[in-house]
Amino acid sequence: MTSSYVGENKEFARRYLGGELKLELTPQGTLAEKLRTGGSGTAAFYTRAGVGTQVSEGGLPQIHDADGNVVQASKPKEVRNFELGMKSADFVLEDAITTDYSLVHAAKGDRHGNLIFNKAARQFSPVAAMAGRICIAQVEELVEPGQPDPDAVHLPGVYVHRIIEVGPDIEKRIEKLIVHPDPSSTAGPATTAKDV
Amino acid sequence: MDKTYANAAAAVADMPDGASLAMGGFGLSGNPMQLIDAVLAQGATALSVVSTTVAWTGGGSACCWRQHASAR
Repeated sequence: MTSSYVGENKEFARRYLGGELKLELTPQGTLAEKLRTGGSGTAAFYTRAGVGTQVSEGGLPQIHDADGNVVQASKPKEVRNFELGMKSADFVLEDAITTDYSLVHAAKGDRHGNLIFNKAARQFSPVAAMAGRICIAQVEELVEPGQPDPDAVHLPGVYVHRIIEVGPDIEKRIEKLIVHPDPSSTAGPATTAKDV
Repeated sequence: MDKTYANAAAAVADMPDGASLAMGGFGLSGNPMQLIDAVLAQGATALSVVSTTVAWTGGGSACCWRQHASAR
């Protein structure tokens, strides 16, 4: 598993700490750029994110044994000094990621695979799609080629190899439901939140 | 070129054990849940997953961990 955030999943924590899976923890922007770089056919890039931490110096726990002891940690990465914006700084070399498949969700797509995402649901989808040798897209609405305004397409169909229509009535979970306060009510807190 | 497949099961049918996957979405937003469900039903194991968030125990890419151990 390569991820930037694993904090709210007890089952993942149990498996990670029990040696059932390997984790490569990566800064979020670095993860996005790793995927974009891989999808663009470039091998690696230098970034300042993570310099001076375990990300560049090594030591991030990746595999545990059944007792929770670290049996494999991340290796040190190449750090190089560059001048950028009239300032000299250290940058760490990060490898690109390509994958066998990528799976993405989009609001709309045509039969050629041109995709349009909805607001925050676009997060990470274009770069994940680019990094996969076979990109499979599920779309809420399948339309005919030429129907989407070309300027509105977020991800060109050249990156998408398979497309299925799942319709608009799929379940969309909300992590923390926040209810807008009723202005006529004087009792209770302004908002309520509950876990789902 | 028409790239449409009949359903999620057909689109993931050739995924082998040990395949690597990149997932779109962030947190619980924009996750390809129907495709993830199809991968779980298809039964490929030892998958290596790249995803910004290991969402939560009940959904998102996290649901893979119920059945799969990562090889990568």
